[in-house]
Amino acid sequence: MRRISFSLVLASALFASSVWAANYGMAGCGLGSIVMGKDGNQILAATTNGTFGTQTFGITTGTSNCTRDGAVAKAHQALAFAEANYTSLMRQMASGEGEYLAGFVSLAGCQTSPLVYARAQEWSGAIFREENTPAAEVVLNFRSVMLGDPATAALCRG
Amino acid sequence: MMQLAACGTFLGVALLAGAARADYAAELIAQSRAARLHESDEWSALLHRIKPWLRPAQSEADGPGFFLGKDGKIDAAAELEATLRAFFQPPVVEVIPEVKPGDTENHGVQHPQCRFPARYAFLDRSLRFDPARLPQQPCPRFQDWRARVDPVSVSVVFAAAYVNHPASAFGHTFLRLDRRSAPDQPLLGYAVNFAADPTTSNGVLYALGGLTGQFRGYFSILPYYLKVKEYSDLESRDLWDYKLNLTQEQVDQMLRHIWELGTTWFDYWFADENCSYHILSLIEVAVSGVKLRERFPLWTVPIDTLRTLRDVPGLLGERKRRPSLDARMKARRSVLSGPEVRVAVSLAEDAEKARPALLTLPPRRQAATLDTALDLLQYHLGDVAGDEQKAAAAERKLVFMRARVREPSADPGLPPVTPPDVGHRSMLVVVGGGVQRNRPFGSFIWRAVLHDLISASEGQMSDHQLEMSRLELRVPTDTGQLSVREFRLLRLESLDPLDTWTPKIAWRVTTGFTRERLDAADLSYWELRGGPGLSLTPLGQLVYLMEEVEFDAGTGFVHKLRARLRPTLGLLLRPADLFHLRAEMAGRWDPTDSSRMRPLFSGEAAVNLGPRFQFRGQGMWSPDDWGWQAGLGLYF
Repeated sequence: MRRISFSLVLASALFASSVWAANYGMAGCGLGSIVMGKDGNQILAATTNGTFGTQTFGITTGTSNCTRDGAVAKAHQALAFAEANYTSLMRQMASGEGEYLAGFVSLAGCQTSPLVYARAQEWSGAIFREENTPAAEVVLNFRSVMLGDPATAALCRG
Repeated sequence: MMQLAACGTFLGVALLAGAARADYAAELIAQSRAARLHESDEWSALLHRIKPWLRPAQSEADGPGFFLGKDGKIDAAAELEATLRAFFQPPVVEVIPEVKPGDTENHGVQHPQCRFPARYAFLDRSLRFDPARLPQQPCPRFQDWRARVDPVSVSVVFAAAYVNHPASAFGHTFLRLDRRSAPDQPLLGYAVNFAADPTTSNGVLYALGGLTGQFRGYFSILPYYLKVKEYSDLESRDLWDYKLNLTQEQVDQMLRHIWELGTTWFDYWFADENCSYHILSLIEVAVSGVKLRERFPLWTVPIDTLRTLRDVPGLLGERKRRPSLDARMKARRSVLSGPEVRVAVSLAEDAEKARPALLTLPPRRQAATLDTALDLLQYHLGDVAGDEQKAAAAERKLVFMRARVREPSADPGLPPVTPPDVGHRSMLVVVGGGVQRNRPFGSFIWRAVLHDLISASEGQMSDHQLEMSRLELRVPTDTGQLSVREFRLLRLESLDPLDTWTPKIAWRVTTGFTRERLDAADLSYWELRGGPGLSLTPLGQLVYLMEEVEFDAGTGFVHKLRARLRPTLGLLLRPADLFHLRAEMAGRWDPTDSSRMRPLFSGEAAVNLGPRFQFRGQGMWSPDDWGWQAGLGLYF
C-alpha cells in the first residue's frame, strides 16, 4: 500500500504540470447537484420535467463553471462525469466493467481497452483513495495510474 | 494631400464594395423570390411555422431574438429577405457572456450567419452563395460548441409515463445526440430537452400555469448521464430509445438548428405545445418535407408522437430499453433467498456489522447479495440528493467488500417488457348500452387520454391509471332524450404495491361532474375526491384499501355543498391482458346524513383484443340504485 501511495505521488508530480492537472486544481462542476437540487430539492426538477439549470444548460447562454453554451468544456468532461456519477463509477471501476467505467475512461483520454479496465480495477482502491476522495482527485489519480505503466500509457492521450 | 487622396481612394473602394454587396443581396433576394424559397418545407420548418385554426400561418417561436425581420413571426418572405441582408453584415467580434442565474436573455454577440447557421446552410445550398461577394464568417463560438457535441446519430428518448409527478404524468420525450467519437456510448451523448421554465415550484400551480400557457418553454442541452440519473435512478422510470435513421447531413442540420433555438422561447402549453410537440419540430428540420406537428392540433401525448414517428416509413430504427434502477434492483433481489435479502438490507445499513452474516454464505451468493445491497444503497442516494460524495463513504466500504469476492456479477435477467409504442392507443370511444333501475339506455363514452387499469397493461404503466376528459352520454330508450351522465375531468390512481425497499403509498384523485341517486332523489354535482391507500399483491393480484375524502358542489345539497368520507376495499384481477376485472366495495359517510354509512358495490371488466379493440362492461349496486352497461371500445 505504501508503495502504491508513493508511486501515485510520484506520478502526480510528474504530470502536475500537464493540462490535466491544471484543469483539476479547481472546485468541482456541480452539474449533478443542479439536477438533484442542492438541498435535496429534486421535487422541482421532477415536477418540471427537468428544467433545472435553464441557464447552465441553455444553448447560447454562455459560460459557467464547466459548461460553455450548455455543452461541457472539453477539459472538464472527465471531472463533470466523475462527479455526477461518483458512486456508479467507483462501483464499476472496482468490478472492472460497465458503461460508467467505459464512459469515464473515454473522457479521461484513454482507450476503452481490457488492459485499461484491468489496471483501473487493480488500482481502484488507490484511485478512490479514501472515503471522500474528491472527483478532481479521482481523475488525476486515474491518469497517474494509467501513465505509470508504459502498456496503459500507450493507450492514453498525454 | 497624398494621405487625403489615399483616404479618398480607400473610401471610394469601400463605397464600391458596399454597393456591390447591396447588389449581390438584391440579386440573392430576387433569386429566392423566383424559387419561392419562403414557401419551401425547409424554410417553414426552420421558422417553426404552422397554420393554426382560424388564424394566419405563423411561427410558433415567441422570443423576438428568433426573428431578423420586422414581422418575421407572420411574414416568412420578409424574414427570409431580412436574413439574407443580415448575412451581409460586417464581421463582429463575438462575445460569450457569463451565465447568470435568472438571466435567460443575454446571449452575447454573434454575427447573424453564426446565430442562424441552419438558415445559412439551407440558403447557401439553395442559392449557392458566392464567397467572394458574401464572405463566410468563421463563427468560432458555434464551431467550438459543435465540436464538443459532435453528433453522429440521434435518438428519441421516451421516459415512461408516471402519475406520481404532475408534469411527467403523461411521459416525456427528448432527443439524445450520440457522439461521433463514442457512437456506442450513449451515456456520453447529449440530451436536447424542451421544457417550461416555471415561475413556481408548487406542483399544482405548475400544472395550472402549464395548462394555461403561463410559462416560457426553452430548449436546453445537457449531458445524457444527468437525464439517466433523473429518470432511471431517481424516478424509477424506464427509458426507451428510438433511433432515428438520419444521414450525417440531416444530423448536422438539426444541430445547427438547435443552436438557433438558443435565443428564443416558446409559450409552453402543457397539453399541446409541450416537450414532445417541439421535439417533433426538430425532426421536421432534419427530414425536409415530413409533417409531424400538424397531426397534433389539440393535444400532444408523448407516446402518440412515437407512434406518429413510427408511421413515417423508414424513420425509426432500433429500439432499446434502459431499465430503471428500481427494476434492476428488484430483479436482483428476486433471486435471493429470504435470509440473503435480510443480509443485503443490513449490508446497506452498516457494512461492517453485517459482514459476519455475509461470510456464512458461499462466495457466489455473497456476490449476489452484495450486488443487491449496492443497488439498494444507490437507490437511496436519491434521499441524500446533491452531494453524492458524502453518501459515497458508505458505498465505498461495500464496493471494496464486493471487489474482494472474486465472483462475477450474475445477470439479473429482467422480465421482458412490451415497448410503450406497442401498447393500446390513447383515445377511447365506447358505444353500447345498459339498464339503470329498469330503464334501458344507449350510451356513448369518449375519453381523451390515456389508460385505465382494466385495459391491457402491455406497454403501459402497470399499476397506474390516468384518465383525462372522460365524457359519458346516455339516451334512455323510453324518452329518447340525450343527457350527460358523467364528465370526469381527471382521474389519477397509483396502486404501487407496498414494498419496504421502495416505500410509496397508493393514492387516487378524481374530479368531475357526476350523478347519484340517494333516497329516491336524483342528484347531479361536481365532485372532488381523493385520498391515500394501501395496496398489496397476495397471489400476484392487487388488493387495495383507500380512504378518500370527498367534496361535492351541487344544487341538491344544503348550502349547495357536501363533504363525505369514502373508505373503499378493492380488488384488481389481471390474469392476462385478455381479461381484466376490478371490483370495489365502498362506504359513503356523510356526517350530516344521520351518520349512516351507505354502501356501494361496483365493478368493471374488459376483454382486451389488441391495441385497437376491447369489450368492456361495468355495473353498480347500492340500496338506492343499480345499473349495468356494456359496449364495444375502440382506441384511436
